[in-house]
Amino acid sequence: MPRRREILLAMLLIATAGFVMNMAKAQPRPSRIIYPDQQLPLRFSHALHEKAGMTCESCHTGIARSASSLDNNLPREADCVACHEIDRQQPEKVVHGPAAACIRCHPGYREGEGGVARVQMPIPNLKFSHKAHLARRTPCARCHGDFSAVEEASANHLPTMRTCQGCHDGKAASDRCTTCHLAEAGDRIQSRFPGVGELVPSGSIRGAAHDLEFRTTHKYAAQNDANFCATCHKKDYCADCHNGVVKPMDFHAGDYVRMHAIEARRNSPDCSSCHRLQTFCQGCHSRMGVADDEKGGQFRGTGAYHPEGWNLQGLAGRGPNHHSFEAQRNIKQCASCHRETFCTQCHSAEIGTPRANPHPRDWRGSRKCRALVKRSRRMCLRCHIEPNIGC
Amino acid sequence: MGPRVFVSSYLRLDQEQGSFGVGSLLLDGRLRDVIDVIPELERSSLQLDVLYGFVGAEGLWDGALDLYLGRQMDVQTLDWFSMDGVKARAHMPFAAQLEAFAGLRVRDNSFGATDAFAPDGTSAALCEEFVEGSGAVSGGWRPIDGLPVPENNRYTSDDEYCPQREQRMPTVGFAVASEGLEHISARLSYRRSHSESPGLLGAPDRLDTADLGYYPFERELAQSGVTEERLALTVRGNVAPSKRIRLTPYAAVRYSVLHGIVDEAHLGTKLHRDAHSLESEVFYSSPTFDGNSIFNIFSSEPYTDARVTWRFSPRNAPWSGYLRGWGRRYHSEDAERAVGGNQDASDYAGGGHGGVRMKRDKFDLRFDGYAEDGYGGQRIGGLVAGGITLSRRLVLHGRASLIRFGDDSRREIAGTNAGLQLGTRYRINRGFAASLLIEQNSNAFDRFALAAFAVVDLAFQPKT
Repeated sequence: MPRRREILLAMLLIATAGFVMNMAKAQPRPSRIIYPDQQLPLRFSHALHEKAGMTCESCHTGIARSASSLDNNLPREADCVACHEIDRQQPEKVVHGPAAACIRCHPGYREGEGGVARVQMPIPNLKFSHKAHLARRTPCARCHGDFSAVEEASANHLPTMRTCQGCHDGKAASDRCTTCHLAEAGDRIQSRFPGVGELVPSGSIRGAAHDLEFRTTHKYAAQNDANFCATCHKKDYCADCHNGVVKPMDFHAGDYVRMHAIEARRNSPDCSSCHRLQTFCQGCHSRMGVADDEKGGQFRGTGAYHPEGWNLQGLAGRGPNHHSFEAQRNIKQCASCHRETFCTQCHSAEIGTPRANPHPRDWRGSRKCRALVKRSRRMCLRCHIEPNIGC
Repeated sequence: MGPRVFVSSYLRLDQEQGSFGVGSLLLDGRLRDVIDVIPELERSSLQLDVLYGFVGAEGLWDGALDLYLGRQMDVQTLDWFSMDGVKARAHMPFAAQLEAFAGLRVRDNSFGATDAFAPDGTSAALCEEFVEGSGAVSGGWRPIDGLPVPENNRYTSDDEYCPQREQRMPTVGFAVASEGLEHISARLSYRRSHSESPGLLGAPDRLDTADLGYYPFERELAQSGVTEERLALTVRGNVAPSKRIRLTPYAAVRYSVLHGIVDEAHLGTKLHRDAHSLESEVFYSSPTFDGNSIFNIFSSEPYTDARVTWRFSPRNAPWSGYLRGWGRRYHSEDAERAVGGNQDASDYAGGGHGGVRMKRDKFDLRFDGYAEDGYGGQRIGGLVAGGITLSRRLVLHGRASLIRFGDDSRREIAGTNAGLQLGTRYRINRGFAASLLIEQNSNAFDRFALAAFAVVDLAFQPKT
């Protein structure tokens, strides 16, 4: 029986892997955000027309004058009529030579059923001038590929950014993002298109693909090149989360107040990227009585937060629960409840205190000691009541 | 394209309603404003936040120079900071840019400041001053007396006076970064903040003892102190050996000059193949604090994380997913811990995460699961979250979660939590939205804990 379960589990894993691999192959069409889905209910062979000696401009007649992506450069009936003897009064007209019956180009057409299905070609969300590119003698195939074997064209034949970058490299042509991308105020790329979606990097430029958990890993891309982030994001985009009053609902788990200590102790994710320990954390902990606030408060009496043996004085006999271990590892956790004055009650060289030495092993002579004494002696003086501090 | 001059600002009036931050509490038989007792809460009470506000001029001198003047927040030395000052960026002819900046660091006592950008480690409360003894090398630190007469203002704290925290913090820095290189980007940055030490507080005869000239240790000993001094280098590559494969190696290291240690380092590589990517990374951290904080002495144990992440993100497909495994090791220098004296506090932590998201048209559905254990505690569970955009104004969203948790330092904080959240957001007008969230949690501590939150957002920007 267990063997059967294992076999079933293995089959499930293989099926999942196969599905995933298959999905990966189901590829690639240029961005749906840049080129929203089109509907082209047409039957048209580019290959056949090319073989007949026609050029792109034979049908796309206005292309050399088109300076904007707002232009509709699809051939109109008038462009087809030059070769096809179309007659709307004779939808099933049979001719020698290029077809003239409506159904030959408009699949599904039936006479008397309300005309042909309409082409829907949404305006692409980018700037583009065919006129400028043709004036530079850029061949159509450079962007759209080889059409000698293509039947119907689709969005797959529109250029991807990688294609554009072949020329727009900052030398042959401008590599400024908003040369092609639509811009918002501040010359930032417009990334949100209502009803279409959000334009996000695929990672091809800086390896900063905005994938599923980019929200938790974006730090590593941002710290390397914040200017790259700024091509799309205003600083308030960052501030909304990092210093926001409205947090994304799904960032912290439900009942996070009860569970946050686990993540806080690991500092993963880094709490201080959004919260300041000694105001945000301490304010709440003091208010709720978690912190043993020296000023007291109505919630006082919950000092049992720490386990037994936590405050054992002296190093001899300290057990696994002794606070020194935790403080060495994760003083941030301590700082979320305790102010420095709490520590100096014991860990100070001031006469009248227990004078417990908090320095780690080999402190004297260490580089850290020398660096701190040199640059922030003020900190040393908080405990050492002596003028000649050294390492 | 000529120069571009602009003003950019982000102002915010922030007030948390309810009794948490602005209420009163009974202390020593007297009803007192809670922020007078707990000054840290002042940060959540009524205040004007100027997150940034600067004038920018870009593309000066034939596009070679950018200038920014005012309050600006920036990513430097692998972290955030905010400054009132000037920043200049020069675009060099040899694929590099130079940045230099100088100003006053924004700390939480600055005008219109938020605390999130202040160096951490020192609190807003229980500030101390040195009270001289009767002779040299004597005396001690004592809490500074508060204002003699409470102002009874519910939005500002009466009792705390922290001259050290109110000192101006001059900050200077520079960065050298690559610009326009196709396969590599790199950045070297440096930043230094320091502040003066405050002198004698108030009149010399304020205290009972005579001023013997020992305060604070005669200023020449610590006339000023460095609050932060960091040097960081990041390098990131992006190469595509073939049409289907792309490799993104990266490395980052930060040296805290103040502490004389490398306090953060990161090394990794990301391999993309079609819709898949595999990232392996190692991260090192040794926590450091504001140069005024004695926490710098206590903190002595760095840790190293190793992570491996597989991501699946097919282009134009409605769904994506990831799986991650991670492990952490703490590097104890304490001999007693190293020989196993601390049986309960593991030197290790680790676990796995995974998630799938499906986003199509008006629907957005996401599932995340994780299992973690080791230092800190245990978390095993998952959540399913979804949203429906009913119109351009109205969005509904919800989340259900089931998480088993256990804190390893307090065994009694353990249980299984079942949570359900339902919310809605209505965009009243451009930049103006109202949100409502209802949350229900059930666990061993609270069988039925219902909470409701409402937010009126006057700076709303739709996020897809």
